[in-house]
Amino acid sequence: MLACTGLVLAACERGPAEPDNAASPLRARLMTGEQYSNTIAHIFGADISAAVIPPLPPLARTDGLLASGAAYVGVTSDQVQQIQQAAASIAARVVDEQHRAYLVPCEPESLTDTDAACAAEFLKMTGRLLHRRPLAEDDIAALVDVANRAADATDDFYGGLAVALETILISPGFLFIVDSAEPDPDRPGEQRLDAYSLASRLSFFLWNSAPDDALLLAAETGELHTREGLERAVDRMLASSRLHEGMRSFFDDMMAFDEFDSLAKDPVVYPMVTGATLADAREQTLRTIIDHLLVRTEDYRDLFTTRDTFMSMNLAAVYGTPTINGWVPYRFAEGSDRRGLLTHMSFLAAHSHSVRSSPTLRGQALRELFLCQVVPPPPPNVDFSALEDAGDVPTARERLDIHNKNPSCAGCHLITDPIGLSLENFDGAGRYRETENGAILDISGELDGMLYDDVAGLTAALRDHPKLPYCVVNRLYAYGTGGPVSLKYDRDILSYFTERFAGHEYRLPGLLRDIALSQAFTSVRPAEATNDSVVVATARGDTGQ
Amino acid sequence: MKRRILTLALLLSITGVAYGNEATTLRNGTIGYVMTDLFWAVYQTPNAKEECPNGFNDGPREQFEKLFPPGSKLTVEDTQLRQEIETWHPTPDPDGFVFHEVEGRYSWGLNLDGRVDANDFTHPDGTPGIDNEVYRAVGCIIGFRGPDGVEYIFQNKAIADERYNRMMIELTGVDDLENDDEVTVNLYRGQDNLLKDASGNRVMPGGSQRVDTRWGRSLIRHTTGRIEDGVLTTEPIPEMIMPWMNLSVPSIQIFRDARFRLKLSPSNATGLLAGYADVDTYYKQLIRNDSTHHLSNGQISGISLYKALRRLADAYPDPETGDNTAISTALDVKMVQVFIVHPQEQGETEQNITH
Repeated sequence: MLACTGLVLAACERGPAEPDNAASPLRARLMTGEQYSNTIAHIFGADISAAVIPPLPPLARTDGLLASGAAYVGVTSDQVQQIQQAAASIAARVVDEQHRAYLVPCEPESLTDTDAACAAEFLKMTGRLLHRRPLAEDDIAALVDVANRAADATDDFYGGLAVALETILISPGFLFIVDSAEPDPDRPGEQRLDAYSLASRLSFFLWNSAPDDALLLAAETGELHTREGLERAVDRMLASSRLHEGMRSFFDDMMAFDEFDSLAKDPVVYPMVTGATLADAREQTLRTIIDHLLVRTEDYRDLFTTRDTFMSMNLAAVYGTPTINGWVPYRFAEGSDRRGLLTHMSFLAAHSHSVRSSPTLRGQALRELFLCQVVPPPPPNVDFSALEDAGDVPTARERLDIHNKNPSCAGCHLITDPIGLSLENFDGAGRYRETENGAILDISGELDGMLYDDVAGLTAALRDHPKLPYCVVNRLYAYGTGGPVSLKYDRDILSYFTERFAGHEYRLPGLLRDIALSQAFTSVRPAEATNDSVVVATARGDTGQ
Repeated sequence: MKRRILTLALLLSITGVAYGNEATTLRNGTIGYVMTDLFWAVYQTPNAKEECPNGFNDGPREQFEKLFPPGSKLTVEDTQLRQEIETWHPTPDPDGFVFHEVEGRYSWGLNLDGRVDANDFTHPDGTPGIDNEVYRAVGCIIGFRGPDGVEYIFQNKAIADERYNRMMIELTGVDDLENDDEVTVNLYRGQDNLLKDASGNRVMPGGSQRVDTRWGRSLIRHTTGRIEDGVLTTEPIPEMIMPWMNLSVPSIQIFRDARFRLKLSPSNATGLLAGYADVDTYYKQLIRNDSTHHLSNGQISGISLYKALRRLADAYPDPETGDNTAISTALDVKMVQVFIVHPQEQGETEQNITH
């Protein structure tokens, strides 16, 4: 630990000091589909964004987050083609008669001729927002030349402008979020993100979108590299409604809700579960999280015990309750077993089979999603026949007993099944039940030494689990810095943030602010992989021409 | 039971602080059902041999061919328009066509007048005195017969698709769905789409419906009933209005002395709605909702049917003419459990749990 200097000064007002060597890796990552859509929506409007399917490739979940997979993904030639098609579509809409009046800041002398001054004005303004840093004069001149040549060829000023805009939209400077470093004048010998990279990191962390004009201005004037300026910028971002969008994206990712894109339930077994029901289940949990953490700024841990949520008509049928149309705040009954995210349909249905519940999948999900633990996959030669032919047993507890009898299964299943069995009061769709095949369910269990008798006990055990806050800190830090945490380098900083999180009584805004204002977030350490050093070289001034 | 107490009980269930078991649909003595199927009860035997020994009635096409044989030189005004005028302005006078009334002994329905008269039907379970003269009139018209009759198909589709038709019954003061000597029965119209399964075809229990107290205020009715061996029988409702939109045309039916007999379960209610249908309203609904095109497909001659309805009408005589204005009838009804949400509870719900 180090004394309080420079940027960490304010952090020392209470709680522990940030580790003196705290820094995050220098990375380049591909924009995610959602970041692409949000960026287009924020710069050009939601209608233009909605008209285009984000052309970016799917990401591999890496250390718990899809977003972390963006640091390792490549782009194939087919995907480049899709990116180009999307860019052409967006550009055409930006300059069409419906949008040009407010998206293009000037009018050309002639609709059928070139107008270098107007083209330069538009491309300078738009290029800065898309590239998240000002374009060099040479780059603007090159883009104007593209616009002029296309306008000449088509006798259409706006057609030419669209081609130049398309050029920006397919450039690596737009598609890749590339960290760029510079010497840190406050810490000789150390590196920090340059102001524009810091602006991008902040913006994609908190808003899941590109920086707005004000944030770029703060970078341009050097404000972001002052403590006061950074605080001002972060506080403005935390107060923005875009924070809700950003955190929805984070928790959607952390909870692996991309599962819902392919989730289906057997309509014979669960006839009330439609595509709309599943979509609402995902939405219910996200609404609950945002309301709990950002609207009411409650304790993160209480997400796992709160009875407050939201209800829709589609979901109400699964929860067996009346409701009115639209989304309405809803509180589960005091006497019911519904409390916290574990008892939401989203968790229960997503981590079940299509025709029945799965204590194993639920237990695994609880450990991996909320405690950041890794449950190894089953061995490739696992024999499922004993499980499938468990005989005429009424409940999952008897069915899964085979796991305990087989040593090669028990190692992993002992850390998943006891947790999942405690959620057996909810079937594979998340509907409440007291019996399975006529047998009363035994839902007692144990989570890492904490014994309990019922769902309330499980949710309380998870709520008080020491790894619970640590895990969300881990995921948020990875999400903010653009890739998975390093056990070698990040152990101390994660402990520091976790301790600070406790000091904030586990309120999310405090944690977000701590991370965003930390030295670790701003300072960078040399790249760990050779890939990183390669992409860093592309960081500056590349307009893709 | 006192309604105010029950309303409060339901409110508590909606706000989510009074119930424990999500699987129970009878909560605080209240259960609701929403209508999913409604069609005129037609007792059918194989090939209609018993009830229609002389075959089925002609429809507009068949009658038109007989009235205006091919080759005759007549104007549109003298043919199609004349028939349209007759359809829209019918009279009870004979039209010259033979009309096949049902001749069988049996009919679905209830004994509405408490008497067993010579011309009454007998229920297939042996109960005498069944009053269902609409069946006598429509039983030998193809369009009213299931499962392919045009009225049968379109009305059931409309019930599911059109929120205008979203009628519900709410039972309050229910101690036991199997036996209860007095329950309160409330009729409301809902405002919401039906909850359907993943196939989109089957209506599922457990949906929610907000009561339409604005445009549906005139449809609200209250009566009482009793449950015996799981069958609800209600006391007559003096005048019940049934919204009846079909093919996007809003219409109504009016039933006097309307009563339900429904087999109840926690998820469904199935049985009959019976009463006296106002003849002019019945006919108006038919021709408003079904153009001659649809009537022709179902071999339904509106002109002939009107005369039959007037002829067979058996209740509510006009004080001036003495002619009966209403006709006994029964409709097959299917309902699915639904949570009925009242407007005051909607407001309370949001107030109570908005933070």
